[in-house]
Amino acid sequence: MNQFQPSRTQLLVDNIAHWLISWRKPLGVMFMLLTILLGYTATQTRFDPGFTKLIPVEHPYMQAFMDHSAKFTGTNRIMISLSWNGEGDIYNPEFLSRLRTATDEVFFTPGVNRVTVRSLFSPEVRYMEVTEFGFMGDVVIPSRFTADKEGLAQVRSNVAKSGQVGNLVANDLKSAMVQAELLDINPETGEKTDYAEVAKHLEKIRSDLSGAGVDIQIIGFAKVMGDVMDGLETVLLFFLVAFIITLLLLWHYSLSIKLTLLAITVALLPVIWLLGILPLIGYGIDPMSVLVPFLIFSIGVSHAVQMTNAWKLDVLENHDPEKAAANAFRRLAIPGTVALLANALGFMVIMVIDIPIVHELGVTACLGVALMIMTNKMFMPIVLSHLKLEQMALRHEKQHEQDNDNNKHNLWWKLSALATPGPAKISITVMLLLLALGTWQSRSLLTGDVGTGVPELRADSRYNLDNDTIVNDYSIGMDVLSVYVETRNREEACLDWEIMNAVDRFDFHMRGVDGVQSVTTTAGMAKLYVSGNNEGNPLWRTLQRSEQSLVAGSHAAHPQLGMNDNGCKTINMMVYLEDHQDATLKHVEGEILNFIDNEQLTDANFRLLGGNAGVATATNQAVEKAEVQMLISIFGAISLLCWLTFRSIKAVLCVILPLVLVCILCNALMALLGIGLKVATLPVIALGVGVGVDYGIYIYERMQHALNRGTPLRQAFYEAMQSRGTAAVFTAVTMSIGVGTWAFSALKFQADMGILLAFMFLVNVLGAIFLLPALACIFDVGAVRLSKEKSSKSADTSDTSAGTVTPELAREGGN
Amino acid sequence: MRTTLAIGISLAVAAAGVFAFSPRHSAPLAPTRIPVDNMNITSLHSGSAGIIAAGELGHILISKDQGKSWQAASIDNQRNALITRVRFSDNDHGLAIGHEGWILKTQDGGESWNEISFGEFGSTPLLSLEKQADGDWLTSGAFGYYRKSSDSGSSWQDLPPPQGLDWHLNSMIPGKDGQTWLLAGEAGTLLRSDDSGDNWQTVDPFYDGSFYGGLHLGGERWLVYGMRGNIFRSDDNGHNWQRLNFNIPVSLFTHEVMPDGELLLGGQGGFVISTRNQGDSFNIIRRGGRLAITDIHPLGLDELLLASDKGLLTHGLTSNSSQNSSKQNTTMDTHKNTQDAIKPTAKAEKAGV
Repeated sequence: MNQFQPSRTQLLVDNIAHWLISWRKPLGVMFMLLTILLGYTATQTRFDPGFTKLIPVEHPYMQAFMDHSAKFTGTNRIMISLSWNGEGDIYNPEFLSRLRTATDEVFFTPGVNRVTVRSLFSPEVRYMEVTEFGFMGDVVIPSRFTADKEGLAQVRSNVAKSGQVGNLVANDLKSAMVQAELLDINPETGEKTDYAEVAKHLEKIRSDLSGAGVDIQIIGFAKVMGDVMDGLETVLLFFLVAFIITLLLLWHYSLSIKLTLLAITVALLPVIWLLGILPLIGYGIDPMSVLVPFLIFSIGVSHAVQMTNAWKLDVLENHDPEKAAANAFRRLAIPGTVALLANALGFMVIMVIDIPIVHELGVTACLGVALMIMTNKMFMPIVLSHLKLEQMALRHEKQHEQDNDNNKHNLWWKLSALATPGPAKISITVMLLLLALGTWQSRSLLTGDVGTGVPELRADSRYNLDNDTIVNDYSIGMDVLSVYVETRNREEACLDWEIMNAVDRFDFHMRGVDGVQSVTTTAGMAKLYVSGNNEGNPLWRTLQRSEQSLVAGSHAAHPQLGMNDNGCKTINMMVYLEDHQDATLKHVEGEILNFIDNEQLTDANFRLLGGNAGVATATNQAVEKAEVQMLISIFGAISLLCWLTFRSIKAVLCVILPLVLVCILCNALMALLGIGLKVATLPVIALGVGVGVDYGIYIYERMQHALNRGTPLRQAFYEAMQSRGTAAVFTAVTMSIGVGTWAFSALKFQADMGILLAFMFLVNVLGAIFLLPALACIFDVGAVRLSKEKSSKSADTSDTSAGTVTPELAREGGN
Repeated sequence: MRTTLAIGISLAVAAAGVFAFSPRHSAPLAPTRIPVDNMNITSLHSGSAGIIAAGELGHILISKDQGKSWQAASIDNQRNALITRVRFSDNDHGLAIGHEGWILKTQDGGESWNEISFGEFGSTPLLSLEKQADGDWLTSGAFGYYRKSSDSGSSWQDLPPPQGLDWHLNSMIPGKDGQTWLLAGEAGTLLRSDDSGDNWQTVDPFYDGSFYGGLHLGGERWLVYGMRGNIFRSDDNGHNWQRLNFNIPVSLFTHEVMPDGELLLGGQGGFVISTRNQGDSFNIIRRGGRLAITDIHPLGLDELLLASDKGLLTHGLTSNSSQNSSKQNTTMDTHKNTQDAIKPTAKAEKAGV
């Protein structure tokens, strides 16, 4: 500390350190009280699945969606399909009796809108036929139905006439379903419908009624919610696993139980505080922000490791704990804060993604980092100042040091050859090769969800298998785009030919668009009604200009059918898609715009875009837009941070180039694993870069010090690795394990994030170890002569004086 | 040297970064087309421009490759009314009729169509169009609507409803001699004419439901068909009628006489039935799907082009015998029927309403 002129910043840090130690008792008590208080409020943190938060609310499509979606039913439907494995089709006593029981049970599902329950047993499900004497119709299953041969034949014939094949009955007549709509408010309790309860009830139906040749598939928004919440509960288990692995690694690293426990406790503190603060500011934990505690914990551990290490080295030099704690604070306040700042930058940058759940993730994570500065940099030295290191650790430490000295130093020395021209060229060649391969592979990365089924859950989850079965067996589309027609100045807009004709032509146009499975509109339905009124004659399946003749089809405009509201103020044109892959969404959206661009209606206008596929379209656009913004912001910010630290373009390049490579490789990995670029995976790059840059900064910073002293490059890199290499690797491994546990999550997007983050954390450290020296060699980096003012800035980020590296110092530093 | 290398590496990484993160385009989807496999087509006819298909929203389509691909014909005034019938007097000259009194004329075999008349009689749909022996055209429609043109369809005169009827006049049926005509319509309406449709006499009612079409089988024999599988035959030039033995209750809308004399009838439930003995017995050629066959057009000897309210489909005739015995319910889906060649139809069917 005495080899350079202390700067103003350093003086401030010294003062804070002094103040911290002298006020350690009241501060310590205050922190304890705070922890108890926040620990109490943390118990009130609730899981908030918040699927509405997944919508890019600012997107014009989503504003149209939110304006209109509440008016139209069908968004919150549950479907329970019973499939018959036995001989023949569903028309047998056993199956029909189970179907009837299922219908009754669905009727008693909490929050269900009872008038919407539909199955072959519902009185609303009727068959209709045209006869010489007019229309004839009745319920499909008569009230006094007996399941004998005659009765079953009657039901079979009625079902055929009812047009329910493909809808309530599977196309192959091997299964039949019960459908119902859920209300947002449970009419019985007057409270918000509890989806966990709904899912539980549905699972009970499944377990009660399957067997004896009947299998049951259940799908619907409520079931997804239930399954996601079940998945969230397993997250606790992952946390436990990450915790135990980290504990073991820490112990192996420090060989002191006290220090291990301290590090892990201090790493847990910001997590507890964070969880305590969330309910106070009205936030909950959602499927995405549940990952923040993992990140905060693992970042916290790595910072705690530095602090305990710095303290321990001082204690080993026979300083008293109090003085050692103050020193540790003094050394690490600045580099630690810079590192945390880089992390926070990563978290902040993801907020350019215009989706509330990502904003909350950013806010929560930034809050966590802020708390970490307090717990790590203030609470920790206070505890350390009271701590006495165990004899075992002391003894082991010396022994360990000597044992390791040769091995490790040899390893690092061998590695430092990368800073000489020959090996550097090999390393660079490998890098360029990886770059080319990665770039090529990354071009096949897809935006949005890849595959079918709901993206929240894995492709082989029970839910998605059920979904596949139902989509296969019935003629029911799951991916729907809604286009809204808003009408003005009309009593009954569905009796206005100009408007209905536009809807009709839209229907026709979209039927010819690739990727469209079917189109459902008021006009299409009205045409069917008109021809139905004319004996089912296709020559009448049309709309005529006169209001009088439009009345003939007006039953199609009943709001209960979900295609328009009262008076057709809004007409909901539904386009069912073959899938929700980004290419399909883009193509169909483009065709909708093509059609609308040529339309000039006097009293109506079109608004895009609702339905689950509409949400996916808007989300993909938000994600694609954010991708470039995010990359420019994070790389701009990190480059600036590096330049401020090193004042050298070469240094910036040495740190940034490996990061770029790792980002490209991350995209390539996503393409390879079939993970799409979406809300959950886009933040990974920013987080990975924000955290990953630390390794480069720390190693380069150490190296720069040695270079400034005139040390040759290889020696300088060797010294840097000696003091910080192990810590960097330890940190990378700890953090990768922390997030890597998510890979086993039942929730697809958590697993995706876990795999990618673990990859980013791990590969970034490899980049810093293998590429940075080679680049430094090729770029011929040297000493940076700084003015006095600037040199103090550079010295700020160093944790110790630029003296000879002693073996004792070899362990401190790192992220 | 090193500097060049350093700059080169930096640029390579930067370029790779820009390229890797530049907008990614996935393979484009097929261009948008007229949904011939998912639209209401009411009428098929051959003209010198190719096969003409017409129907929903006033679309008239032409295929020059036997139904494989379709292009839109040009229409000078698109009214978006449903076209119900297309008839040609020779390869080049033809007429199309539709809802709201719409009449179109072509003089180039179907490539381009000009509007002759529209909306002059309210929104009344025209349903049938036939040419008299002397070259005049007659058209009949809903509510007893009846018109005549003596100048190849260029101008039309309203005629009083035949017998003062206000039923829908679904189909005029000219006899082979050109003089004896039948007029079949709603609610058992059947009229007879001995002067090529200028004057009509009522045939004694024998059925309550609607007739949609019919034909002259030759000699004194006539056949009419209609609602719920009702097929009647007359052996005395249309005066007395007997119900034929066909018991599947699907309405029949169209017929076609094949080059070898086989008579095909098509209708609801995707049914196409055939008789080679003037209706003494029927075979089922195809069935299934929630679609109604509206017109039949032979493509050579072994394939049919079928028009339906769910679009066009083709049907091979080679192995139809296996279909005959099937007696399942009538709403079997088309995609289970391997003989239907146009795949997207099955898809559209699956999507369903």
